[in-house]
Amino acid sequence: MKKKSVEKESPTALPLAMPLILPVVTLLLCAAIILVCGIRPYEKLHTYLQIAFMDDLKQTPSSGADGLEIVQNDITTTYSGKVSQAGEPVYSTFGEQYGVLACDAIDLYVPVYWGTTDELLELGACQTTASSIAGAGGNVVISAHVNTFFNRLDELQTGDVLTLYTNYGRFTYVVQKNIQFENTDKQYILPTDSEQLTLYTCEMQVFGSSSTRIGVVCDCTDTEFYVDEEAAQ
Amino acid sequence: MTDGFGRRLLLRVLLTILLTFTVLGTLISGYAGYLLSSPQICITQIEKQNVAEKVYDSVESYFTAQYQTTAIPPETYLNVVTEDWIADRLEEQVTAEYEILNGSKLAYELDMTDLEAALTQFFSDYAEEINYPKDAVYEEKLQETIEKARAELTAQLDVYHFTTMQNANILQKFTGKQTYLWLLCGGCGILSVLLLVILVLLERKGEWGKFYFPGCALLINGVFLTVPTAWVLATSYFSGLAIKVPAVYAAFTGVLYYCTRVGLIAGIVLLVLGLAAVLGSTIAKRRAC
Repeated sequence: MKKKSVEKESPTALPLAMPLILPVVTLLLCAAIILVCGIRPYEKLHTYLQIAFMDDLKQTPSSGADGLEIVQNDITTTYSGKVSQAGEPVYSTFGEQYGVLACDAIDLYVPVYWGTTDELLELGACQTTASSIAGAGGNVVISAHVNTFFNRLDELQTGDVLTLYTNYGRFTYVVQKNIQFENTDKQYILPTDSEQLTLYTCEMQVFGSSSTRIGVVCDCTDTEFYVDEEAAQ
Repeated sequence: MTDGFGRRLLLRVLLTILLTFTVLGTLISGYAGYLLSSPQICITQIEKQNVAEKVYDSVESYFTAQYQTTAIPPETYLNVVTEDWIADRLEEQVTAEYEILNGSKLAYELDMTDLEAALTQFFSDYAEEINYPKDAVYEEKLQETIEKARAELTAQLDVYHFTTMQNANILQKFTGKQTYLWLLCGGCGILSVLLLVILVLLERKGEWGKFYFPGCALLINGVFLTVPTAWVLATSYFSGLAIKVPAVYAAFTGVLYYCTRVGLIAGIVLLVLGLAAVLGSTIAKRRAC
């Protein structure tokens, strides 16, 4: 009886390896949880760092190494003055920021430059000069890097709303369809009769660059030209 | 090993995993909150990495190259824009940007008073020398030169790329988030203490030792912090970043390496504490058996 009561009070002897293996197993479990939960925040942080520090070309006039004059403008996104359905778009010079493209669905907010060069693509999204400027009633073609500003472009779905703010007006577009094409295929960047917005970027690849382009075609649903120019400035 | 043992073990492992994440959450949110609240780390790295000297070299090259097109001697700028002047402006700019990050609406404006005076003097002397009238064109050219110098200097001084981040709406995402981080830090801290107490109480008469499971949590956190930071430092990972401007490179990698070193120190402390708790508990328990 005495022996039995001693056995009950004393702690159980565990195999020697068990207390040593348990932290390793728990560590692996925690590492797996961190890996799964950390992918998205890591991607976001990586994108922010890419945006912030990939650009080393300063945003000042005449800063381009090849004579490119990059001009950065303050584009208002809070204009509340009078607007008109009809108006004249204001053409920018090559390398000038002429708008800001925003989309809540994918948390997009990117400066848009007129013209496409490697330097400009490091600063924001670029509109090809062969396409129509917003408000002119044609195909507005804008592209950006997939590892920075357009890293979530593939998440856009039919019905998502995008707004292109410029200093002369704001233009609302709704995603009509997702597209995928080869970089040699020009069908989506050709001029159109009605106003539409075409956004594209490279297909995301872990290694190397892809020849496939992905993007969206959006219909213009609202055109608002600013009437009160002072308020727009 | 009975079913009861298995259930008890599962409960303890789950609580340990929770404790691991709450401790990690406390450390990371606390440090992130500090990083976002205080410009001290950024300012210290500017000093340590001689960023002012690098900015000065860049500014000197720029204004010397500009002489060919503007005919303004670089000394006109460089007599004012000295290394000390740059160091003061760098500190001012970082402090101002942090104030914006903390909710201030006032944008940073570079103090150009001395440089404006120097440029005005140069223009005036030159105009008198060649008998040029100080008309509207003269004023326009003078203002243009001042604004161009302001834009160039503002860009060169922005070594942490606050402007780029502001333009891409990144900075705004972090504005005012310090309070949430401090709350998260406090919440995780309280939860950590609670879990620690629960684990100690559960193991009061258990088979693993009072501090075995809290020790496991600390040990795991130690590994999580020590291994990646040690790897980053051993391989000089950040030195390979492709940042083209020397001042930006020095400032940015300086901050990254500093944070990594802090992570490594915290990791080693946790690793030692965790290891001591796990081994101590295990040895004590085996002796008791």
